[in-house]
Amino acid sequence: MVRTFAPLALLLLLAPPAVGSAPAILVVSPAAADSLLVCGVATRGLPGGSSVETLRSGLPSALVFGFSLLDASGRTVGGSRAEVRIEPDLWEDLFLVKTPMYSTRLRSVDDVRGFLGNLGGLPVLPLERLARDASYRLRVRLAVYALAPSEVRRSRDRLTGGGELRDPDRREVSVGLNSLLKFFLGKEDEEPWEAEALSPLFRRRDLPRFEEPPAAPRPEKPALDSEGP
Amino acid sequence: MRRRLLTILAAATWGAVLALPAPAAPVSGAASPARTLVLERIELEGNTRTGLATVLDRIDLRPGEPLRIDRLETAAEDLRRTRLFREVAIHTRPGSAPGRVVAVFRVRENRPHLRLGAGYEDLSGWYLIPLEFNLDNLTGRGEALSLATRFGYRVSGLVLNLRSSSAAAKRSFWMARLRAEEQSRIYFDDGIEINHPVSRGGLDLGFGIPLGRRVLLETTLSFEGVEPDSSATVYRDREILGRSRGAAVPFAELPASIRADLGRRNQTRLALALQGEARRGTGLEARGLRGRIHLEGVLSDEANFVRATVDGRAYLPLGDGLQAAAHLRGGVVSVEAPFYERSYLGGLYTVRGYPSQSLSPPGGDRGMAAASVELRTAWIGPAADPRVTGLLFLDAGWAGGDGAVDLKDTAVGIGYGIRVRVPWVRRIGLDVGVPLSSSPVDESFHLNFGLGWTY
Repeated sequence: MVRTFAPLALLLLLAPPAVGSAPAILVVSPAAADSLLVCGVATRGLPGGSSVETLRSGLPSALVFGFSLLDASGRTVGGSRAEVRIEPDLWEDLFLVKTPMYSTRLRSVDDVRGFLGNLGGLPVLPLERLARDASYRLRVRLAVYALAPSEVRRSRDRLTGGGELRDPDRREVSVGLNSLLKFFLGKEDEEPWEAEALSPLFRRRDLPRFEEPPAAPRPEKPALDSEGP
Repeated sequence: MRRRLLTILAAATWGAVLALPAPAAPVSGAASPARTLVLERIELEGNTRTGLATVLDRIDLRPGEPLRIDRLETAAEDLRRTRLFREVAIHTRPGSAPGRVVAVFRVRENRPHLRLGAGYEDLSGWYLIPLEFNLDNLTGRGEALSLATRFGYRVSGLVLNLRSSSAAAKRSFWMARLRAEEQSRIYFDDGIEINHPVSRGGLDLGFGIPLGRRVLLETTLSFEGVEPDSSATVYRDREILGRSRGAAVPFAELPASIRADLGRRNQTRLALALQGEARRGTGLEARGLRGRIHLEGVLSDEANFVRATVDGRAYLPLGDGLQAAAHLRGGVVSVEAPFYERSYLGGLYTVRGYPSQSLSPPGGDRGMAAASVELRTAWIGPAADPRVTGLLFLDAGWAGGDGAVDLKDTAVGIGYGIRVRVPWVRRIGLDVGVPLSSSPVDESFHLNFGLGWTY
């Protein structure tokens, strides 16, 4: 436990102030939680300026973490995504932060900043997917949605119906040459990744156990309470 | 009979226009009316030539209205679809009082760019758009300007399109289109598939105005020249009949109904269309009705004619990723219309299980009606935007050369299909249709590849 979170705490102490800086992932710490490989990440610059404005206006913001499990040679052997959603309640003066494993109610944007600076327990993969003695790394990427997408993202072809009705016997699609080139050059992704980091090499049998989020720098007003998954 | 059928079709389509949509579920955390967030104003960042008014014309958000995330997302998506911007991001700011919100769209404007594309048309089959040059939004007022080529086995042409706003705009618009194209019209003559080239080119001028949020009224004035070739070719091998692909079909061997329509015609067309959209939700969660009524009169140096078509569609989610969908369409055209202006039955968009246009005589039909029901299920992915969808369908169609529709000649096709979501194209599909009535070709089933949903 101490071995896992000591570098996080050290980096958090040394990290420059979050306000106004670009989002970054400082440390990636794999751990085990029951039958899951989970990941802790120390971050900087979250929530960003646009996210803070959105939260203060009463609308939710979100982070998406993309995980890739790499073997010792750097080949991707698995992956997943996890969303952290921050939902403000202007009238109760609260922020509900939902991670895939737990949720927390916080009192202020500073509390949210402290919480996001040191996130733990983001689920990655079932542990059984990892060989017991093989070495792995985790690559973590971060996308920031200043305004969180609604629970079900809207389909991009939702409103294409006008053309179908106008010409019911015809369907046509086109794509910009730039998008096509980006795709073939591997520069187009589903998420707008803004930061990326790699964990040190680790083995399944050496993984520390994840129990609960480590103590972040304490805000002046304590968090109200935490809820289980 | 014809009047009764038209009454039913018109009622279905007017139902689409007038029906109220199902209420959408609230997305934001606001629980009671007193706690509703309200949009105070809209701001635009990153723009160099596009004004805020151009953006407001293209989104369905107005200051003073209650604010929900899904409406903000829809607005951002509407802006992306305009092709005015390369990127559109959205966030919000606190307004002048708690609960009042400022929506901020951060954009990167599009530059002149090239596009590639593809399409499928029932008449012309598959075609490529190897080059489309876009010069959208040059003045910052949101106009769409493009020059596109398209080439396929049965079509080739060039289209210059100028529109006061993109097709995604929900406000009034004007458009001008200059086109020159050669299409191969396919018709069946005694079981032989004939490929008849028809050249047409002209100028279309259009104007559209929304009548409320769900109804659009469009009018188009077209001036065009049309010239079918004086001969045709065999489109597919029919060795049993001693005809092979590419063999010439000279003027004297063309069907009489085709020969009567040969020669160049100059046509002036005035069209009026009313389109209604009362559909909510996405993918297999979509619910509601849509429809279109289209009327046109054509003045020609040979003979004048009129045409009317109706198209109505209904969608009903049944839960667990299941959706029922129905489509009803029909049309009539006056007897003076030449073969290339008439209806042809059979194929992906009318009755599956039969080749395109195979259920009509060479000279086409004056009256046509088609009905279809589909049961769709999400196999992979969420119902709102499934990656793989399976479907069962039942199609039926009626057509009549003299404009009357005889139910005894109902063509019925039944079958199953699949839709797969892929990048850019959104959805490609394959349908396997089994003809349950007589077919002009000897097939136990017919395959149809297509783009997107059938309806």
